[in-house]
Amino acid sequence: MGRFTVPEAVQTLGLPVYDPNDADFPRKTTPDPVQINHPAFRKPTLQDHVLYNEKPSLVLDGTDAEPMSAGLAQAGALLNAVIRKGFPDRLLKAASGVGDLPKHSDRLCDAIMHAERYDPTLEKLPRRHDPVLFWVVHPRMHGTPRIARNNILLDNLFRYSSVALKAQLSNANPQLAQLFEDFRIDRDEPLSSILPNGCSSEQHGVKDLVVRSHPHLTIQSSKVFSPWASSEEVEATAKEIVPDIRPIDPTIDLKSDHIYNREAVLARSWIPLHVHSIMWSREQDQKYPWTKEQLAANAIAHCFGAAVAQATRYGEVVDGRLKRPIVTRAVQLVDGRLDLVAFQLNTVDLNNRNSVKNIAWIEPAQQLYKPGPIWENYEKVVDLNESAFVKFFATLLG
Amino acid sequence: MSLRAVSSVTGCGYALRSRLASALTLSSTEGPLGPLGAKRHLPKRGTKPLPQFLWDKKHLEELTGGEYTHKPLRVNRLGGRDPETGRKVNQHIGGGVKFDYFMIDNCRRGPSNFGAFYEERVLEVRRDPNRGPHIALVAGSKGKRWILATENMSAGQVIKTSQHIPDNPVLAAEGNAYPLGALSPGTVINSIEKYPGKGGEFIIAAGSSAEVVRHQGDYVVIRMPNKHEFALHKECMATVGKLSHGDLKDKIFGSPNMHRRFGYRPSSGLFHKKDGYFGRKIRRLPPVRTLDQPDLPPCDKLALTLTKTDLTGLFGTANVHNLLASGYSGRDYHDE
Repeated sequence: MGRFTVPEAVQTLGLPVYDPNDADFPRKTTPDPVQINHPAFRKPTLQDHVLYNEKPSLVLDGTDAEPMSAGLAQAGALLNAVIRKGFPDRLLKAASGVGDLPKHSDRLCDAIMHAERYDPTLEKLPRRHDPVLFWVVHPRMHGTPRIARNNILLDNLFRYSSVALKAQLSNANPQLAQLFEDFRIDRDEPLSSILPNGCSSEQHGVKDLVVRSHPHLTIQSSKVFSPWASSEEVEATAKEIVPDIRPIDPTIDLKSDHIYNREAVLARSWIPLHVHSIMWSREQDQKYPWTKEQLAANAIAHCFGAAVAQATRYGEVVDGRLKRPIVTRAVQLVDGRLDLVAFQLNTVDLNNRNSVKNIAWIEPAQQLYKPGPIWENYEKVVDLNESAFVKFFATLLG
Repeated sequence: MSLRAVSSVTGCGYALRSRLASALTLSSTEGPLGPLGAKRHLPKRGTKPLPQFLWDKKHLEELTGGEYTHKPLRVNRLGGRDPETGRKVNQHIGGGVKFDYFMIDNCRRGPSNFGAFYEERVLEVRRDPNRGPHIALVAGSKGKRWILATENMSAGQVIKTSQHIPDNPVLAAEGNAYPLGALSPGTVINSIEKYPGKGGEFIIAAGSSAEVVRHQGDYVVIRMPNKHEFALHKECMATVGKLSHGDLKDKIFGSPNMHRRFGYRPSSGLFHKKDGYFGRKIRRLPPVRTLDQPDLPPCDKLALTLTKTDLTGLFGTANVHNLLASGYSGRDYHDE
């Protein structure tokens, strides 16, 4: 017996035909989904984001950054900067007196132990991974996370520098007291800067460069800081050659994103201030830690971001040219090592290799102390290196 | 199916039993020596490799959105089981530590004009727990990717890729990738594409390599490690050199527990009688196989809905209305 089909004569009448075998006969088992055309019931798309821009930009994101594949050379190639290893001697000389102060090393040890041991935070720490005994599943420990410890240490070091040292050294150097008096400190404020047509690459073409980060300390002042390199030295950089990292393209570690701020985002943006320095810390991935070169390049890139934020904040960039050089400093703390950077922004034209170059001074991987593993109690400061603190202080002085 | 006539010569009871046994199977391969003897022309058991169900490709696509990423991933593993049927296909695979998965880019592409190369620098060479050969992180103008590392590949080296086929063979450097038509006979190669544009499929095991034998018009003959020869299109890309980690076969895990940590399950441990499949066979090499066109993908399976009558399987005079068996009549009913 053939399958029943609705006769054509009935079909032409246009009558509704119900199939008794249908699950929804005689009444619907599931109600029709409610179709409400209201924004509250629509799934938000990328275009609905407040910061969505049609033209994507290349973003260097501090929280989700890729390490720079070619290290310092890539940072120089991307930012049109010449890299100088080591701070100017005049700054190191000015800061060298700190070692002679009484109880200096005790105070440094205290600052470190506050971060490593005395903090009562109990948060779940990441599971310990052993690269050799990879099958062992270690228990989850609780304590102060690495970033929290490093942030506390940065706070303590800055406080020690700005308060205690200022009080002790101001008699010998009154300008020092004035320098620290005017500092405005903000903690955990976002920082975003954009440089229109900042980078060009074979793959992406010419795009805006966005650098965004979330430093623990953003230190600003109402004073304008004098550049580290004089105008003659800046002019001389036009003849210097920026590192060539071919076949690697400097922009390969940046990600293309439609969501970014079109203006600079800085703390206390309503007050006419100048960025002095930013400080932040990083936690190394246990399986894939960054190398010292990659960390140093990351520090330079973020210092550049702060300089661009300052430059674009009050219209220092006119017709693609910078009115005056801008210098910012950065301190990155990773596993007891300080990456100290000072970046002088001389030009915002990053694609022109014949113009003056930006200059980056860096003291990479200055081991302040040797931290212990995060799953153990840290009882005593190991391998304290006071010269690292001298350079840290020099960074603030410059 | 039909029973064959029993031979009048009943001297060999074994032959009778074997004929009956084989006739009762549904084998249609029979030759002059009978069903058992006719198997020698068939492909050897286990020649065609089984699909390897190691990682869940659907989960990988979900994680990456179908795009390539060089970042380490945590992909679900299948333990040798078919993801659709759930049945075990690959033996002795399962469990083990959850290793990070690195996506390997097998497609070496470059410019096809004379003298132009796509250059990449090797950033890092590392072990990969998911495969035998070492893997190399290379960076070029188009981004970073992981490739299979050749024997002497090291960080800092620059490797080139070109799709140009010159009139004279190139002087191939290890780690570079060229089309087969550009390589001279005797060149040691690995990660060879079967068909142009498909990515490296031949020679991906640790320490293995193939050799370019000769050029034959639009095809290039290559010799595999088992001495079988294939004629592939001259546009198929191959990487020059031997694959890394050649001493992998000499390494031992050290303990059964370490075997398990790497995701290998034990054998059954029971005694299995060896049959005619085992043992070294000395056979002639097969002729050169030409890979011209890829196999067609399998047809989509049809989903049919059978009517109730079709489901009964009845046909002919047996195909009557199902209510007739209950006493109904096919004749017209008259009002009484």
